[in-house]
Amino acid sequence: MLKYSLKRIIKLIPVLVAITLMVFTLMYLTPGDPALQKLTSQGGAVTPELLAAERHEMGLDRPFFVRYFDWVSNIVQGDFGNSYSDDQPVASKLLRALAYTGALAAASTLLSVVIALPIGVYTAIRKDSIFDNIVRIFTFTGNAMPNFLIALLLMFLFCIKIKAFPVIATASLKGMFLPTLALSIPMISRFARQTRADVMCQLSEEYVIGMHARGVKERIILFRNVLHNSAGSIITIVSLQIRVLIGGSVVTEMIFRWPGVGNLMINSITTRDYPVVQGAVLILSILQVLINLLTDLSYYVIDKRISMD
Amino acid sequence: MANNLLEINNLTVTYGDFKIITEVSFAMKPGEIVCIAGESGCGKSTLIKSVLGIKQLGAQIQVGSIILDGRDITHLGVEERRQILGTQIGYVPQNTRGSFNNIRSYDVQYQEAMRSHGKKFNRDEAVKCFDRLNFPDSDKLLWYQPWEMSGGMNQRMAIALAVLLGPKLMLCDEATSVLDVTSQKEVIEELAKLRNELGWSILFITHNLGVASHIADKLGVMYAGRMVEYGDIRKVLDDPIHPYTKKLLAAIPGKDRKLPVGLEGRPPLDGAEWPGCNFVPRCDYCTESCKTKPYKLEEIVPGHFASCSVGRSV
Repeated sequence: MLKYSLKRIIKLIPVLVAITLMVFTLMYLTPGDPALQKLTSQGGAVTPELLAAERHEMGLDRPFFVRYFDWVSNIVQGDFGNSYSDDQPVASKLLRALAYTGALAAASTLLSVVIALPIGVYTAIRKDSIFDNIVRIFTFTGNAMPNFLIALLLMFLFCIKIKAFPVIATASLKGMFLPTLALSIPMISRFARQTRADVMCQLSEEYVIGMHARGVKERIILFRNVLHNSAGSIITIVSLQIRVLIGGSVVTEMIFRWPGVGNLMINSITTRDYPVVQGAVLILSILQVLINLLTDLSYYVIDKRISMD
Repeated sequence: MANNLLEINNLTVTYGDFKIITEVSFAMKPGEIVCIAGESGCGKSTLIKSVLGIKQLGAQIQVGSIILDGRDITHLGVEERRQILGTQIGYVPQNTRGSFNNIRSYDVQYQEAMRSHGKKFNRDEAVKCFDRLNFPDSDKLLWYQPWEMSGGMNQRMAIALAVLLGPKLMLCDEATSVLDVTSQKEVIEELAKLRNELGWSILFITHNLGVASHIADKLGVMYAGRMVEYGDIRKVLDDPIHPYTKKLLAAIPGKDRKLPVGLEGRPPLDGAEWPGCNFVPRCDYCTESCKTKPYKLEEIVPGHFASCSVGRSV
């Protein structure tokens, strides 16, 4: 498994080269002049001389590949450059935003799995019961409602009607509650439906009868076998969801003013803050690829038939 | 019939409203191997499902009783039934992948089965059991997962686990019918050996009369939901009474490259519902009275039962 992981990580290198090149090219081609942006944001009149001097200082007048290699070699040393808008190091800005997004992603995923898994299993074994029907209504609704609508409804309920939470989320546990809930509701619906479907599919497998015929306890059949065999597809949907969350749940973060990656990206794009956008896209791409690798490794842990080659 | 291990009394079983078997009765003594033969759909698997009594299998006992070792197990509760499954009743299914979770090691699955019955799982004991059954690579077997094994080996692993759980009655539902001849022979010989050594009673469902004649003490022939003949294997094979049994025996393919005498037609799907004999449409000897005469399995000669003896003198 270690060998496989190493192989996968080595294979990452060309992917990373492609990603860096793409990120850099995209930002290079984007209209708008960062030097002009920087000067105007500082106030004062912008003369052509001043602009040319600023462009030279920022290195914008150098050839494309020189700038690209410069950027990449700095990144390899952990230097993502400084933000155009406030001259702060991009790395620290990114880390802070990632920490916020990571916390939100982890909390909402954890909450969703903890709630959805038992619901999914229970509705599968008590198929068509009253509980199953009630859950079905909720999961369909949860699935159908867009995230921003859920966020606004939660805000209306908790911040305006009950006044239990402030409208602008503070960067604290309390502030995290509403965005977490807003992200979790559709995820719970999705995970619960998926778990129900997979568990039901496994329950109809013959080995389940074989185990019953040996008098294996129901609990063991369900949690050690049925759930084990369904884990692959449950992990697939969870990891897809995590990948979306890590990219920053832009809308939810904007609505709750959560200072995560989504928020940072939107702000940086509107201010043409190239170093931040480039750094963010790069880090997010690497994270996506790593999550992909972890997902693949977990498939192998569950089912040894999956080839490691 | 106090010393019977298994008694099936007047059993009628349905799937929902659909009657599959009616009024089936027979008994098995300890250490006896009983084969039930018949065409597909005659209800022989349903018989096994009824004895297992797992509700997911869908077989519902409407009338009659199943007595295991003096205890009525017809309508046991879920937990009571779980306790006897494995420890008193063993099961080998037709599907060679039907006993174990395909992607978990035998080791954990053996453990789970033993612990479910409050028994200690001892790896050395398992390996000894494999050795006793002449399994190859006995010391490594537990670490394999079922998908890495052949179908025959999977069946044998299921039998080995049954040895460790120690039931008195084994139910084999076409356990060898999908195996190649070598694996088939190994499994059959293993079962016969275990009967001799452990005193297992084996209820063996098969459509292969060759297998039956090799292993069985008694043979039951089922037709469209009814037991039409039952008795000592030699008597049934050498001197069949029921017209269906005769046709069934005549239909066994021979080695002489001649096509056997075919069994014309198909058994009726609702045969269990018929008031009179349900073999009438395919029978060469039937009379008008056969259509209305109620089904009854009678002892024609001592120890040899049949529901019809019309063709006997012919």
